[in-house]
Amino acid sequence: MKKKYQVLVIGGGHAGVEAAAAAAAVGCRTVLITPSIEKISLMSCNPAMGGIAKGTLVREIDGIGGMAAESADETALQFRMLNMKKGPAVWGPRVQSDVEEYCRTQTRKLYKAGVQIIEGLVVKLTGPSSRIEGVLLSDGRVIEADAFVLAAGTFLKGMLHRGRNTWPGGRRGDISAISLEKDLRERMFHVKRFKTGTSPRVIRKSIDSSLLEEQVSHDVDFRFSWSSKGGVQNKEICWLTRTTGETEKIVKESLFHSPLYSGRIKGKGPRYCPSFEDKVTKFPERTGHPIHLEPMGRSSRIMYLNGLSTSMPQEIQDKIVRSLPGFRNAEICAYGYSVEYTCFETGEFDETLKLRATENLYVSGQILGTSGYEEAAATGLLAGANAARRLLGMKKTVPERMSSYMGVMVDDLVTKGTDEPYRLFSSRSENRLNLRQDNADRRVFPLACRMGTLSGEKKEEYWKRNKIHKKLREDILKKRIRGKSLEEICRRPEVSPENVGEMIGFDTKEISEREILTTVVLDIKYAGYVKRAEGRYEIRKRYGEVSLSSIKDYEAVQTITIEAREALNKRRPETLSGAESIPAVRQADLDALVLHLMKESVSRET
Amino acid sequence: MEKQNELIVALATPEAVSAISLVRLSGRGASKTVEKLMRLKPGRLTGRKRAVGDLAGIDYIVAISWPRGKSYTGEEMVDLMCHGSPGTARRILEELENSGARVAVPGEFTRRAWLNGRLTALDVLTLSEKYKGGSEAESDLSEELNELKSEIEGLIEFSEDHEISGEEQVKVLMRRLLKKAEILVLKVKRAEILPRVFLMGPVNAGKSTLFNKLMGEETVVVSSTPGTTRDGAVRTVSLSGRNVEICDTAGCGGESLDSKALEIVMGSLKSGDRIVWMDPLCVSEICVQAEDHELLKVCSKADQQEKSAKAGWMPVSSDTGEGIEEVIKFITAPEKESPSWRLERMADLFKEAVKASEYQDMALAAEIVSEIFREAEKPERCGDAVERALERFCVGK
Ligand SMILES: Cc1cc2nc3c(=O)[nH]c(=O)nc-3n(C[C@H](O)[C@H](O)[C@H](O)COP(=O)(O)OP(=O)(O)OC[C@H]3O[C@@H](n4cnc5c(N)ncnc54)[C@H](O)[C@@H]3O)c2cc1C
Repeated sequence: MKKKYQVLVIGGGHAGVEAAAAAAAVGCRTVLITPSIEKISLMSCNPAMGGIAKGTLVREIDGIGGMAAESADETALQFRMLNMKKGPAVWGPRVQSDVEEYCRTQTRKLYKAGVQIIEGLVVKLTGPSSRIEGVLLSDGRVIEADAFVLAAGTFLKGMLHRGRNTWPGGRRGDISAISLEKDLRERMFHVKRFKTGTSPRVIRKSIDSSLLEEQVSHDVDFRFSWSSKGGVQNKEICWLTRTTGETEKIVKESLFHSPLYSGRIKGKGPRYCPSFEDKVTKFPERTGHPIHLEPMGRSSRIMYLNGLSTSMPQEIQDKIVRSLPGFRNAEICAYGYSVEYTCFETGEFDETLKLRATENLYVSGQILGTSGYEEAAATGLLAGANAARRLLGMKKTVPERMSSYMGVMVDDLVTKGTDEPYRLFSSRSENRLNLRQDNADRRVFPLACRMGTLSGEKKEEYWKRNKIHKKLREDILKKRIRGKSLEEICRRPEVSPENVGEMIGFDTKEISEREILTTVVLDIKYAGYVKRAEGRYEIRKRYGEVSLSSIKDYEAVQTITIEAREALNKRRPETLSGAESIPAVRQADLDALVLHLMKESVSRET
Repeated sequence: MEKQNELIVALATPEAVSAISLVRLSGRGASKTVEKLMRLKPGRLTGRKRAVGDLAGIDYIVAISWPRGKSYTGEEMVDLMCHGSPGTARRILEELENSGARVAVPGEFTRRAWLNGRLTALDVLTLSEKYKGGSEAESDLSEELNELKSEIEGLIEFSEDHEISGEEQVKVLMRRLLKKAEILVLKVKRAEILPRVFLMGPVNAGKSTLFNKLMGEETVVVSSTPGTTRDGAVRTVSLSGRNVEICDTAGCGGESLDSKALEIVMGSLKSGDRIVWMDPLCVSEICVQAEDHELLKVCSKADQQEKSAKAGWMPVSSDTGEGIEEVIKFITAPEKESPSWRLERMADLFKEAVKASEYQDMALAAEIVSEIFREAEKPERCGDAVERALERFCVGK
């Protein structure tokens, strides 16, 4: 019997919405189930999208037809380009967003994409684990579908902590998905517990902003989406303040109150988005930690304190906040807390983000072990598209590690795993000089076409840009200036894309044309490095095809380290890539193994 | 070469009265041998263990064992610490010899470490510099590279969130490493095997004049009658900080062909030798196997020629000094893939990285540093230089 829905998405967070929209774009009748429509795509933590590597990821999402980039542009209050002085490959675009506006915009886009939305809480999956048939809602309804994407975020048996208090909840003001978690455990999926935390929010007018440093948009024309018209405008001011020695002192004296340090939270927290307690413990001599004061929305009366994530008791949070310059009379309207939640163990899902033990259940977002809206959105897109594709009998699509952060992330999650919430860093990529924000659309376009998630209109736009790109590149490669080829000149570190633009008279105010100039010049600049990186990767990728079965005893391979010999004799991997995943085996050992196999095959032939 | 894994033993501390002497034992059966002599339970010293007790009635000692793969040499190893009188250590050595261990040759421990992949060739070279009394500075190049790498990454990933201002620090570190690499190039070049250079070409092509020019003094009889230099003169000189052996040869080719002299030269040529082939007229046929050698074709006496040098020939004049610098560069250039060649490449890369960081491209600088890292970590065996460096080690290292 034909079911009403083909793809059913559980959870309307950043992952869930992209999953639903992508499944619909691929061509499936899609439904999204989430407890509250008002909270679709709610930013649970800081009111901003992007950052280093994350900003680039948002642009990749746009490149394959996701919604996050456009919504971020439409609801942006302010824009900053992080890492401006660290090189264009690691520039990190970041916008402040109006949180409520962002929810509404995303919901509108969902409806437009043809996704049905049902308010409800899923308490159980129905049918056998190998092939899920439907979901049971808390009000007793059963909704059936052919494929499922689970995107429950921090809600699976979510436990909130503040001081000595612990209570169930997915995040502040939301209930915890306890029965669904129980169902997953009973179905014998391997899961683990992670934790993360958030900062207190304060009432804007209780702050004396005259004592703070103002921050406005960077004077750079920027927007995340290639479809957005015009750059992000400055609509709100943010402020910067710093902790005083007093702040650290309060924290140090109260550490025993913190659930993190008293041992009540057992889940693994993110090392790179640390709580303020962590910062003070790890760098006890430092003071003057920057704290950014960010509005939750346009003219919102609530401000978020970025950099002050804490789960101390309320009265101590009051003290901490009031020790900041300009915060003497600060009023906290929502206290910081941390959340501990269940997510899936590495190895449970494959590179299409399908749970291996099932035929039709996909996972995405925080429950993969990631952290961050951007990471969630990207994995949602991939899971949704692949769920739909499999259903329609189409080939799976997996992003390439060398050409996108999406690829890096999925590959890391599937092959390496993570024992703390996984956040993207530029250094996770071996091909960082190529994974830039300016060329994100070009890098993911082939993937987008394979995936079938990019609208015809967006494809048209792409081809238009591509034409300009081709012409510009030809012009630059042809041009010689005083006997030197412009290509060579481009490679000089002191020459910027703007300089090159001047040299060939390419003068434009159009954002996307300027971006094309940047891309063309940077591609030329970094070509050698990128080519070498890709070469190394190609070799590594082929490891999977190299069989090690001819080696009977690794003791005979004198060119590799003893450690490697022992580990290899014990584990006996079938191929070189199996050998690669053994920690005792180093790159040099792999090279030596290749040489050994080559010699061996020569001597066998003669 | 010695058998790998054969049990070797050596005194690792100076043979003098001191608080403690250290005797090292490496190879298959090291633990068992000591267990027996100390009358320990079999297996007592398997893995990373420590045992205190009497050794064969000689001394009360501390034995520390390491399993394969975890020790300095990468093999099963035991360090024996005894009281520091030379007599005691001597007797322990003898006892171990009686139990089947062989006394190690200088550098053998380090060589094993290298062969077992515990050290890269570069480690060995820098270690040897350190033991020769060179400054500490070079020994930890790879450690500092590691530090530099993590500093840059920290700067890229976290400087915005946490306001780490490490930019200057990174630049300083990078410049310091550049300097070190440059110093190391010179030192390692000295440690490398001498390149041999043959000055060859037709009679009276100006070989001896160039030879003398390179020596900086008149040591060879120079005459303009063809065929004066009958038996090749050989000299070792230091050029651009590198010792080279230069052989002047009798002429070959040309009108008065001296076949006997040529035979002698050809007989002593080894593959890898460098040849400066000289001919003022750029016409002579080159009578060596080009693929076995590095070859520089020189149009000698360039100042006296009417026509300019043919393509592929470098104009050189010992009288005016034209082209001499290029000849020296050719003579002293490091062999491809040799440690000094790699170090020079590393120094060049450092220069690029410094420049990138000055133009605010830390991401590029980081990529270049990664390339340096790969260069430094390359495990291939750079034969001669490493062997030579190993000879410098005292026994027991
Ligand atoms: C306290 C806190 C602190 C955080 N700190 C950081 C940080 O420091 N850095 C950082 O990068 N990120 C942080 N985040 C994480 C960030 O919010 C998430 O990474 C991101 O929102 C994950 O997106 P998601 O779509 O996977 O899940 P979520 O955004 O959590 O969305 C999950 C959605 O699923 C719905 N849902 C859950 N269970 C069910 C069910 N049974 N039935 C129906 N619907 C269900 C929920 O209602 C919700 O709408 C924090 C989040 C929280 C709550």
